[in-house]
Amino acid sequence: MQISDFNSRFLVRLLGAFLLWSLVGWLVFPSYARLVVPTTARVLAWIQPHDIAVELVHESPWVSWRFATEEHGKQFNRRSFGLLVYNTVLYLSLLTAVPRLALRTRLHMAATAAPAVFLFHVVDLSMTVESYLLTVLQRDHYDFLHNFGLWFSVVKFYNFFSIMALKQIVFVGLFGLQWWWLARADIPASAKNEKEPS
Amino acid sequence: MLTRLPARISILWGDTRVRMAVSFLLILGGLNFLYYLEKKLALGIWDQPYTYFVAWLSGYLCRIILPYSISISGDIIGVDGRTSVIIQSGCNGLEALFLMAAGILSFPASWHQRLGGLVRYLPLIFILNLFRVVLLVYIAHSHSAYLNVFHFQIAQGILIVFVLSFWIHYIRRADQRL
Repeated sequence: MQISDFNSRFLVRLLGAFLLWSLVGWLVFPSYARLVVPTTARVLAWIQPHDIAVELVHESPWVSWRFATEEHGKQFNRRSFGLLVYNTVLYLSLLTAVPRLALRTRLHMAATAAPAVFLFHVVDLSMTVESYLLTVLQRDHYDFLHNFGLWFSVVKFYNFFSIMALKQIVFVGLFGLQWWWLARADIPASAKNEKEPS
Repeated sequence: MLTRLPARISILWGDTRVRMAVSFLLILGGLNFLYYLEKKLALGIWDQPYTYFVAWLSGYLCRIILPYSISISGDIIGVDGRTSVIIQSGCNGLEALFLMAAGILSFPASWHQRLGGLVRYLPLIFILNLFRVVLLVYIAHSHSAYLNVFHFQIAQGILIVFVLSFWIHYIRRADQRL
């Protein structure tokens, strides 16, 4: 098969899968939020960042957080839940569009990726909240040159990098790892459709 | 155990895929770090001019494609005097350009091929992003009820789908010529 032929077919499959999974995501994400948001709220309640109690709630399509301090009063911010978890759609699109994989293998890959997906979303949402807490509580650290804060800088860069790249690549990387593992593992021929991924 | 560590790292580093993954992360992290630093230090040499350029070009494209009165001011595209779309980081398409550049540069190919890849694919992604902005302007103005799902979900991922597909196209071409 010619490269351009393969590639245009793959692009069409990927785009189709992306649109399909985006539609599914639009319907399913509010339910998924009922799992991610309370878990993250429990994590934040357990960690108590900066000794502040943060209230985290899902108000579809947003996830909002509120807290209050004596110095700064009541604070509120929100983020689209879709923006936090849209990368799941990328993973599922890739999993669907890649040719020559048996359905059983695809389901197996999805099932093994699910805990990592969930964990990433909980950690990512926690870091988003922490970033906002730092914006309010340690605003003076924005002056990098005269008032450098290591944790502040790490969290702020993480938050920036997460939006710019990490969200997108983490699941493509996860898929790549699974693909690599699949190529190495001794899976019975019947589990694969035509030939091993190369 | 610790004495074996350098040897193990050396074996791991000998694997092309590991080298490629590490190079990819370093290049991507480096590009984003420079961009982040430039933004935070407000140097005004990269983020602002580039974003204004994207806003101006997509605004110009909106004037051609969309049946609305379009105004452009800095990074803001105004539609019929009642809808405003602000182009920011994440909307200016730099994240996709960084991903593509890191993907091309980290793949073991000749420098001629890498340069050819950058010249071929980066302008394509840049142009696709302009159309993405036009689509968002259209949805923001005419179908604002769907803006959230389009802006935060579909528009975020669609460019990545193209990046991934272009990258696979690039590595298959480069791999054949190696």
